[in-house]
Amino acid sequence: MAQLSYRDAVARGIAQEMRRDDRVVLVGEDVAGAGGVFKTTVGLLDEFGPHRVIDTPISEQAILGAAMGAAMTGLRPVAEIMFSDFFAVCWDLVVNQIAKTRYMTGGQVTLPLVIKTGNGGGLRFGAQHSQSIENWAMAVPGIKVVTPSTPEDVVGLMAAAIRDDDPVLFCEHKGLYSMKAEVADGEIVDTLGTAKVRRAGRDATILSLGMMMPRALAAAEDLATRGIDAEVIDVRSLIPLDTRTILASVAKTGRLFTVEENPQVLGWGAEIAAIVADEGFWDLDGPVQRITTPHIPLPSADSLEDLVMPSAESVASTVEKALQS
Amino acid sequence: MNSTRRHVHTPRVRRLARDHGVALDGLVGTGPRGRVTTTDVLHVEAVTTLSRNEMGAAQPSRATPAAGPSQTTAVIEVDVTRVAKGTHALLAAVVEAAVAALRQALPDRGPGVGIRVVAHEGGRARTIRDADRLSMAGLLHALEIAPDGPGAGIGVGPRHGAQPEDRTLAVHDAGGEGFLFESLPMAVGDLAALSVGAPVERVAVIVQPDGERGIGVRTCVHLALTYDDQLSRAAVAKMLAAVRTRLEGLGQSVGGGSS
Repeated sequence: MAQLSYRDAVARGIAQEMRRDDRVVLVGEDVAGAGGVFKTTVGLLDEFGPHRVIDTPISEQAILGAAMGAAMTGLRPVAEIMFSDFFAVCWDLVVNQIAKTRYMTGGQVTLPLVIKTGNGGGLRFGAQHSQSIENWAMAVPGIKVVTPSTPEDVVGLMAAAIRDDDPVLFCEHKGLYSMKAEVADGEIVDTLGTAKVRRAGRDATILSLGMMMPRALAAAEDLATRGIDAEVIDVRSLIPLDTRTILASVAKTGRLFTVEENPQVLGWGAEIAAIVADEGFWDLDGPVQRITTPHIPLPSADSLEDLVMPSAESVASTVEKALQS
Repeated sequence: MNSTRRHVHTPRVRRLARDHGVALDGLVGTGPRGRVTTTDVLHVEAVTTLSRNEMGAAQPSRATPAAGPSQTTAVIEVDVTRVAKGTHALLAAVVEAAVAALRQALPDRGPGVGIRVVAHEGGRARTIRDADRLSMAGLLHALEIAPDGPGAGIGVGPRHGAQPEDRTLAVHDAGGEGFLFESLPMAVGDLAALSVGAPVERVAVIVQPDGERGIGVRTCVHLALTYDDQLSRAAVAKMLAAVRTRLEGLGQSVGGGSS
């Protein structure tokens, strides 16, 4: 066991797979010489050389086009889109090409491709560099979507994503890059489509993702001092979604809350709320409540960004109020 | 608007009521704004079952026996000299100790949450949630604002959002009638029933701070725990021993005397 930062965990996960499989390559802006603009790929150029760790021009379309072609011809590329907001400029490749190739070739061509990206807010980067875009990708059949919230999950889910034969959008939360935690030694391989119960509880289920996980956990600890025993689930993987863990928790607690960083309209929690309304209706002991940012672009001012994003305090007060009304 | 108010029941309550054959129409619950909770459904089911078993006998109460496995009562005497004087203080201390002990004896399934104070005859049920998380002061306050009177009983009921399999620890004050203890039958839904008898003064052998033995006047009560096959004999022994230790050590651990 050793302390590892979330950002170093990204490099460790990729390196683990590059050592194991020489078909794994890394492409993106500044991923090689600079070690990544967020320093998530430090050391990879030195270990694996310029043929496998490749800097690209500033063109998201070039990055994904090259990665897609590489995946179609037998490599297992990891491509970086520096800020997830920039998917907006290469969305045709993601939605119409990468997501649909396996389907449109009748399964003859698979795309074992990981698109890693810096996602989420809280760093005062403003409206165009702070978005949480998991729900954009979730809406497109053919792409898997994962967001780890701990360094160990970064390593394990990265390995699982690289070994998966389908395209996986790997959302790294920028606000978590500096977070450190113990990570097991040796090879770590996780499973896509599995949620983790971070805190067991009986009174309410709180679903969280990425940076909202530590906040939900802090809220649950606060609620515990006021007699509310909340269960916190780290969803981790939106596609595929671990509905079994979520429904079992709701069956136990009867109450469901989602903590989402995305704007409210059509956030990932809306889909889960719909699933629970359908499959877990008779377990519900009150309305499902979603705690999200409002439907506005994220402000860059410190005070305003803090105000609009879900916080441990806003989660705790929403849950407490709901259980008492 | 229709003058008869339609109560809204959550899906969970409706399913529970259906599964347990409880009619929700006209029921006023103990939840916010009179909403029927899962605990209420289980309580109504218990009372209904009792009425059925009694073949229409006068009035159902928590003290009416449930159909089910045979019940046994274990009795211990506890020195409560260190516990603050007064019925409520004694009950609060016993509830606090019993909940803690039950958690210890059954680490996997504590008694759940919420104190239900039930007046013995025709009284209105009052629920105070999260009994197992209340301090002694909180329990005392809860008891003082609850209906008082002879035969007042306390049920430590399931937690908000509890599962149907959760059970209640019924606590009953038998001291009001001057009984040393009552072998209080369990109601449906009870995990066990604890009777707290009248405090009596006894001349007893005590161990003094210097380790020497002496004679002292002590206040003692009998605690009678009625249980069935949900609890093993060993678990009951462990639980009662823990209750005794907690009550007898009370003044020491909190560093204050009775007032």
